[in-house]
This record gives sequence, structure tokens and C-alpha cells, in this order.
Amino acid sequence: MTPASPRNQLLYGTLDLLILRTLVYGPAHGHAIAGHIQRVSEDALRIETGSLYPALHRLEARGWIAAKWKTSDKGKRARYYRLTRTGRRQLVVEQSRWQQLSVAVTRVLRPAD
Amino acid sequence: MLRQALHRFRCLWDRRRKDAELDEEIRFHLAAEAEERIDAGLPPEEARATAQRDFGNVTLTRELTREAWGWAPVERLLRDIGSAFRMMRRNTGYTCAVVLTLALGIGLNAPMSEMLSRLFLRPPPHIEDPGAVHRVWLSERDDSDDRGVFTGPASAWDRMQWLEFSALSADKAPTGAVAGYTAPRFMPNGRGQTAENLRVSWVTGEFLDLLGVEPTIGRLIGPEDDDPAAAPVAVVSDGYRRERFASPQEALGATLEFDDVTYVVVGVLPPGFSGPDPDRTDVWLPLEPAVSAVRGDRWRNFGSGFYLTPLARLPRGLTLEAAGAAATAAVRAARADSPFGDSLDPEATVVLGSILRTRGPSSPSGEIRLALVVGGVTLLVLLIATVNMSNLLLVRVAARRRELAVRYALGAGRWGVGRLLAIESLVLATVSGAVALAVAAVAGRALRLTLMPGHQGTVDALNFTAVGFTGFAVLAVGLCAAIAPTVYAARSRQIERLDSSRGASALGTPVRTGLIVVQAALSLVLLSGTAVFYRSFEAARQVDVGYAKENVISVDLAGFRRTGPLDETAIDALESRLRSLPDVLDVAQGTNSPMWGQAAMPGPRVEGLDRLPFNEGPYVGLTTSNFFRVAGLAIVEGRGFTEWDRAETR
Repeated sequence: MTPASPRNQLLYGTLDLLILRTLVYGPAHGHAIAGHIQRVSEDALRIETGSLYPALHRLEARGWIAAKWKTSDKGKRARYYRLTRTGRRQLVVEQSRWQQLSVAVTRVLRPAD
Repeated sequence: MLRQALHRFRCLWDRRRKDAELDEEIRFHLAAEAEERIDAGLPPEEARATAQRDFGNVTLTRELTREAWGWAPVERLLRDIGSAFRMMRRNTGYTCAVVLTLALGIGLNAPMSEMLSRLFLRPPPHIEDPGAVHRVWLSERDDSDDRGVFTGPASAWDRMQWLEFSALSADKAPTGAVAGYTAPRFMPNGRGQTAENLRVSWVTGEFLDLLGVEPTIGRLIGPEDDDPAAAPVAVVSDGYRRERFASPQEALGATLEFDDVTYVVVGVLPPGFSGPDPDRTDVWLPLEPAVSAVRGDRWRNFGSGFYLTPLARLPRGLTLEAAGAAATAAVRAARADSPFGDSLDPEATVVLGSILRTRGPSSPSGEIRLALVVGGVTLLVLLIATVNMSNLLLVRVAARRRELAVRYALGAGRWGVGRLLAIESLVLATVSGAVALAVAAVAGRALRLTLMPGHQGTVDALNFTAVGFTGFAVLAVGLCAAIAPTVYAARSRQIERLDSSRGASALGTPVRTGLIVVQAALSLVLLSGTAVFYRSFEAARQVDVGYAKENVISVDLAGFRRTGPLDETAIDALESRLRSLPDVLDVAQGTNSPMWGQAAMPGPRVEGLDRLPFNEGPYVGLTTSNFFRVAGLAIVEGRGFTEWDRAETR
């Protein structure tokens, strides 16, 4: 669905984790979430809008995040997402799953250890 | 789970608002992105353009986000249904043709399925644990020569005389509880002008209790009522109660009079209850007072007279075979001990079967066979209607090849087009189903009145079975009819181009030819069936039955004896009153009618013969001299009576 480009192809399911993690710092709109991920990853991860908004709405439908219309710093109406309680629990689950995966992949890459 | 479902429902509910919000969200994103780029030093025009370019396909993002709302399948379905309705509106003639044939097909089958399931599958209503209640069949051989030698073919009946029944129901018989009832027959209740003919069944004291039916009010007939010392009581059906009494309470304590015995109504049975048979019954009477009234107090000492249908409720652990063997032994022993034993097959066997008579060992009655044939015919009509609808859908698909080609070109898959066709077919079938329910309501009543006039109909024509059948038929027909068009549409995908020069000429596909052949074959079967039926019917009408079939009315005087003593004077008075009616040409009297009934007169002897050369009879009828002329009976040889044949002549 998203155009294939090696730099920002995300592992399936990782986007959910990144969004949930970003919202730990407080409510944010879609543009800010994408910008934050890009900044923190030092431009390594660039979120396609074609996957960002479906992901946000999917997480909202699951009840992990909730949305509210608020006025942004620049005085425009924006849709702000925040982490719900179930979302926080889910973040813990997703994070530990990611860590397990990352440890496993590291082991495969460095079998000598 | 619940929250997700609620969320989805809310999304579906404010679809417009959600759409507007998504648009605003995307606009905000683009604006924020552009501003960021302006802040970085790009000219506003270029900033906006690059922001737009980097965002990618806005429509696609919108579509993908909508999918996340979870109602995309519902929306697709609604869209397809809407398209199906538009298709129907554009092709009114085609739609009407399909809906009418299908409505007829389903509408005839729905009440038929109800009737057949009641005859063959469903146990009668209001019977407790009907699987444990068994009809008891007596299978015996014919004595074709009337010589006490039983060599004829065996036939099974679910009725027996008191001799056999008492052997089964005696305390020592190891078949569990046994009860009996007589098939309902018309009996006049009351006298004269106010007399009414009711369907009455005589039952043993254990009968209603064995079935486990609960009265809606009052009590059942119990063993204490089936006793010479007991006051005569009756229970009535819910149907009769509604006809006669405003409320169930009013029925309790009311009196009925049959054969000069007054019965007090002590209970009303639940709606739809008709005992183990679908035949309508109005009143149940305890056996003892009912039989004593016509056959005297000592009727139990005589072997013959009336027939009881026995039912047995087997105790757990007793197999049908074991119960049948025990019952066979009991019946044979009773026959051996009986003074009438010589005239009864000593090797009769007893078999226990389902409570449904149609599933017993006897061959189906004419009524049942007719119901089966009509059931087959209605099923055939439904099949033809289905094939017809499939065919019409196919023609529509052929005519719509351009539209389908456009759909394919726009990216619809085979699955998408197949789904569209299936939904169109289902929508058509559903509309037909709705019309079919109306047909069923009318046809159901007509079918029941024609095929099974004596049967207890359920209160409403559109009961659960009929509606359930309609729903099932709609689904089955809708899906089946869609198969051929879908296959055709999928096949035409490869060959079809957006080429308007090719019309619907490529209709000679094997699928369509096959459908036409099937339809023609089915119609042929139906038509030849109709022709055969009509010819048999005409042939039956032409048969010379030996008496005048038209313009002769037979009056049975049995019902008149309540108006007073029915002696010769009373009969002659009736005759002269009949003669004075303007359209009556002649009146004759006889002890039996040429249409039915035989009156046996005991004791005629022919000199020189030890016994008469007949299996039964001879039957003797007493008539007035004009009887043969009035009844249109032809005299094969010799002459009829004349007024000169009197008591004093020979």
C-alpha cells in the first residue's frame, strides 16, 4: 500500500508501537507525531501519511488512543490524540515484544557471542 | 470487543461527520507541513506544492483510513444493494417476471413444507417427550377363503379391538404404560335444530395422561372417569372452546350430549392439540360411558365392535423389539383364549413404531400420497422458478457486459463482480420472498382445505416453519441462481473488451444452453404430469359407477332420530314433505344408499346350500319399489320391484 522505499519501510506492527510511545509525552496531532518520530530517529524513520492516518484511526477504533479537537499553538483546529489507559497497557506489551524480537535478531546477527 | 463494536457503529452512524473530520485533519496536516517548509525558507507556493507532493495520494489515504473505521464491508454491501435496486427499477418487466415466478414457487412450497413436516417429521404438539411414545401396530394375515386358514398377505393396522387392546394394557403386559383412543368421528351433540356435529374421540382413562398434555384450564380425563360408576365427563379442544364459549371458564361445567348421555366439560386442551394425529378433534370422551351408551354395559365381554388405536410409553431400557415381542405373545395368548379365536390370525405380530402414523409399517393412505405428489409438484415449480431466475439473470449479465467490463477496467476483481451479482440475485429473491409470504398465506389455507380438510390447522397460516422455509428458500435460490451468471461473468472477463460493437450475441454459451435444457426438461415433466393427471381425472369422471352420479341427493336419517321416534309414520311424513319441494322429482326409501354403506341382515338362507359362496354377507337392503329408478341403478337381469310386489305376493 505504501510505496516501497528501503529507508522508511517499517516492520509490520512497528508503527503502532512508535505512535503509542510518542504519545507517552502528551497529546499530539498527526503531523506532530510524524515529525517527532522523524526527529527522534534522526531522519531514519519517515512515516508515510498513507500509513499514519489509517494507523491512528485503527488505534482509536481499538480504544488504545482517544482523539479530541483542540486549537493548536498556531491557532488552528487540530485533532489531538492521547494515550488511553488500555493504550498504556498495550504499549508495555508492544515494547516487550519488540525487545524480544530485537534481542533475537541481534543474536542471529552475532552468532559468535 | 464491545467497545470496538460500539465505535464502529458510531462511525457508521455519523459517517458524514467522520468524513468531514478526516478531511479537516488532512487539510491541517498539509497546512502544518507547508508552514514548516515556509519557516525553513521556501516560498509559500513551492512549500505548499512540495507538502502536497510529499503527502502522496490524498484520496488513497482517505480510503485507507476509512477502512480502519471498520465499516467498509457494510458500506460495500449497502452500495451493492443500492445498485441491485437500481438495476431492478431500470428493468421493471424483468424484475416483475422473476419476482412473480419465484414468489409463486416459494409461496406454494412454504405451506407445503409445513404440512409435510407435520405429517412426516415433527411430532404432534403438546406431547411430552414424544420420542418415548409409540404407536402399536398389529400385523396379521388375510383369511382370503374365509375358512379359518390365514394364508393371505399380511397387512399392518394401528388399531385393534378390545380383545387385543386389553391384552396389551393389562397389568401383566410388559410394554410400559398403554392407552388407546378411537379415530375422531362425527357425532351429533344435542337435539333438533340446535344439534351440532362434533368430531369425537373416545379415549381410555390413561390416554391424555400418557401423552403428557397439560390442560389450559380444568383437568384431564383420568382413569377414575373411565369407570361405570363415574359421572360422565368430557374435555374439549381449544378450537371448539373458541367457537362455542366466550372464555375458557365458561366452558367448564357446560354439558354436551352424545347418544343420550350427558357429559360435563371438565377441561380445555391447549391450542393446536389434536392428539397423536393431525386430524381435528373437538371432544374427548372417556371410553366406558361412551361405549356403554351404544353397546350396553357388558361390551367388554364381546370381542368386536369398535377399534382402538393403542399408544405405549416405553420405560427406559426397554427396546422396541423386546416390547414388540412381549406384546405379540400377549395378543396371541388372548386370541387363543377367546371364543372368537378361530376367526383371528393366531400368528399376528405386534410392532411398535413412531408416534407419527406416516412412519409406521402400513403403506401410505391416499391422502398422504396425494400430499406427497403435490409436494413434489410444488418443489418442481420452485426448481423451474430458480432455473428461470438464473436464466434471466444470465440474460441480464450478457446485456450488461459493457458495464461489467467497465467495472473490471476500474479494478473490480472477479470476487467483486461475483459479489455484486450474488447480491442482486439475493435482493431479487428477498423481494420475491416477501411476496411469497402473501402467496403462502392464501395458498396455505387453500392447500390445507383441499388436501387435508379434516386436519387440525395451526392457528396462523404463516407459522414458524413456513416463514423459516421462506427464509431458507430465499437464501438457497438467491445463491444458486447467481452461480451461472457469476461463472459467465468471470469467463467473459478474459474475452471482454470495452468494445461496444459486440452486443449480447455471444449468448450461446454452454452454461446458458444447459440452463435452458434443464428448464425445458423440468417444464416437460410438469406439463406431462398435468396432462396425465387431467386424463386420469377425466377417465375417473367417465367411469360408470352403476348409479346416477348427478341430480341424486342422499339423506341419512340417522341424525333425525333425536327429533322424535323415527317410525314408519315419521319417515312417510318426511317423504311427503320432500315430495312437496318444487325441484324434487321423486323420492325413494332404502335401508342403505347406493353411494356407500352396507346393511348386513343376518340369517338369509338359500335352500340346498350349507353356506353361501361369499366371503362376507350377503348384504340385504330393503327398498321402496321406485328405489332403483330414482337411484339410477341398472338392473342387470330380470326386473325391479313394482307396486304389485307386496307382503301378500311372492
